Amino acid sequence: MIEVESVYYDYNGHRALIDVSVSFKTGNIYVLMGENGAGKSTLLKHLNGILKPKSGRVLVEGVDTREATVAELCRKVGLVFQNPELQFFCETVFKEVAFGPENLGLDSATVKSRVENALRVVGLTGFEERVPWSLSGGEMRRLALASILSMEPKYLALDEPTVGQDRFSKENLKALIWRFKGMGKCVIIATHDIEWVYDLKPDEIILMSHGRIVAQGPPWEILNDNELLKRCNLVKPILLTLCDSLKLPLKSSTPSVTELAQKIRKRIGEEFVLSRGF
Amino acid sequence: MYYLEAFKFRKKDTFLHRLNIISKLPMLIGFSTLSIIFSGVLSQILLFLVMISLFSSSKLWVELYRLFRGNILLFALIVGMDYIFTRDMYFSVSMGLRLINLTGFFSIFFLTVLPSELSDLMTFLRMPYELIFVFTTSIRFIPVVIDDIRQIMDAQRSRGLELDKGSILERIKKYLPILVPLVVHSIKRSQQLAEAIESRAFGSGVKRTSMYQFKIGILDLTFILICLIIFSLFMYAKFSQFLF
Amino acid sequence: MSIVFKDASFRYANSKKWAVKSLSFRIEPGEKVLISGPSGSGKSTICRMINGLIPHFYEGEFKGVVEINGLDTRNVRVARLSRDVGLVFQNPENQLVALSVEREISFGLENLGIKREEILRRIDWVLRLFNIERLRKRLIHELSGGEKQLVILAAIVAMKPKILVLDEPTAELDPANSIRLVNMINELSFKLGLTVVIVEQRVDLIAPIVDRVLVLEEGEIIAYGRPWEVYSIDKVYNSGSAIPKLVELYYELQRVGVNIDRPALTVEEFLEVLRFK
Repeated sequence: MIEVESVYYDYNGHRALIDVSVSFKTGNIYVLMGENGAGKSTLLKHLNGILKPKSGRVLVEGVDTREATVAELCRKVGLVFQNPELQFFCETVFKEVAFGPENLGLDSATVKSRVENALRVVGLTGFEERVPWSLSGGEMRRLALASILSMEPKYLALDEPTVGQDRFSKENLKALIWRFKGMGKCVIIATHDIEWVYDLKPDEIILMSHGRIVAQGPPWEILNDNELLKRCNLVKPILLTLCDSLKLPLKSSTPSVTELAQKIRKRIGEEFVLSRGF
Repeated sequence: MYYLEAFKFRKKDTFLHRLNIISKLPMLIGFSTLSIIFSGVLSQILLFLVMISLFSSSKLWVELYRLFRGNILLFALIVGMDYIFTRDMYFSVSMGLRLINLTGFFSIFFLTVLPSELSDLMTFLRMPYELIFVFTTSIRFIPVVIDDIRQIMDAQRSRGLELDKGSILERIKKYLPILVPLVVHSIKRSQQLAEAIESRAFGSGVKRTSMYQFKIGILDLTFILICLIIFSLFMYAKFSQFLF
Repeated sequence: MSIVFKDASFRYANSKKWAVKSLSFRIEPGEKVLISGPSGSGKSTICRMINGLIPHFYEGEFKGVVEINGLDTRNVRVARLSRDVGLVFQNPENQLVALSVEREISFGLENLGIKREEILRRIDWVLRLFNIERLRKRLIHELSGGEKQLVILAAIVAMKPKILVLDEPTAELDPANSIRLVNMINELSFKLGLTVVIVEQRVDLIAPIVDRVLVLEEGEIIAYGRPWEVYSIDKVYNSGSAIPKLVELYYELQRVGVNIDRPALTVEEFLEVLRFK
């Protein structure tokens, strides 16, 4: 478990995190939501020690991040940044993914198997000898993810992983995140892509605004709260807006497209009438 | 880093800030020249007072303090070394003050001059546009590149890179994962930038016009006059051997 | 200002694949068109073919003809075309060259050799149009991502192009700023009579405001027409192109036996079809 306790952080007079407290448990998917500048990335950087709190503390499985180095913490907490181009420096994909485990001091046989594993998980097997910059945008993102996965962290933090991604890439990412949850990992995603989050069905959504945690809870609670979303400058997922307008009872759920279609079908004739043409 | 802060432009509305760069440049050249040609401790003290008054009239006391802090070691070194060699305390202090004065005048210049004013000056002097463009764009991207470096370091540290461990040779090698992405990213950036400016008619062959207009006001003339008077007084003092 | 592609194809140098193949379509003056498709389908290539970066800036093999208001892009330089076509790219940081907002806006105008008085007039005009007068003297690096993208758009609109092309302009922006930008684009197209070509993944935002949607797959057009027509086509749904959520719902409803005439793109449209008893 990672415990964030009353963390305060500022830089250049700008208050980035104010009294932030939250826990992240393994086997769960957490989503940090909020507009740009709300503090999502800053919070993620506190999880592996890149940033240390000015007051308060962060405990990674009992270890205070202020007393550990990033090199120690990154064995447990993997952080995948938004821009994959800002970390590639090797001639081959293999070497790029091997960089992390090599820094951990593992022997070459272990490194090799970890690299192969990581590439398989993200679907880049066969790309070992390719040059990182020759890959497409989506492939580069997967490579960046693989380079952190090869360190086999228990906690995986992803900073805005869906930016500029097309439909298939986003769906694949969702499936991958659920796979990580199945493996017992803890996945923490910072994003403002509310429609994708809606489909993802995370265990918990944490809403941030101006450096504070404004709310946290299961998706149906957070995404249905119009006041809350407005305060954080977020737009309600379109399917929920439709449910509102159709006055469909939700019973603590965020229905998928399929589920919603069935709900509507059941009510045709009783509550709704199909009208022709518009 | 801290030292460099003394040269970064600060936006304020004071007398000096409102002056055109045309008046500040002669000020810089004039007073720097005076600092160099005068070696007497009295002259340096007088110049020091001029420098301080420029800073205080611009309300830049924090920056003045930073200037002193940054220079304190060098000041002590110069005074010390000179004293050891010449056994002349007045001379040594004078040399130390010269350093402070020179950096002070340059500092006040850059603190009150917007980089775009510098490029305006270059336009006024009819320098080739390509040169001016390179100058402005480089300055514009300084904070961007600094941010890139920070992001790269964060990403590589998250992969276990430890920059502060190992022998000198090892530590130098460790900068490769920082430099390579930076260079590649900068190249990609310049490609994207080239596309963008081309799409905004850059290099169209048409004669470029400019938004800048040369404006000199009564404030500028007053200031130039004051500087000229001070300069003349100093030179007169030198000729009559009152100051040296 | 019409855009006409006549059997146009392009292959980048050092590439075996054709980025776009035999494109033939027309965009009428004043129309707003969304170009949709998965990554690598040729959307960005089309954008660059409209303003002349292809074939003048990019090396490769160019076939067919692209005409902007009758002008063949092969015979006109990018600088000349930029009088009529403004192109906004995805990353605001890599488009901004000046130190302050005012100078950023004057940059393109100075390049065009416009007189000083007119430059000042246009800066006033565009700052008022975008309601960003408060940003006039601000330094570029102090702006937020959303503000930067607005400034770039303003700088390009100040050049008074008749065609506005935007290549994933909201990709780096958060939802609130994306909505602001899209609303601005919509407003501009009405106020100034601009032809707008926009490449976007956030189709939920864009599909309701465009006149037509052009769907690409592997460099070829697989559909081009009114949004509801295009999204009724199965091939489009399965192509990997971004689909509005409500269109997904339309397909699901069909699967469970509820047949709606055509897909709705907004909640309001949906309520017109599904009425309360």
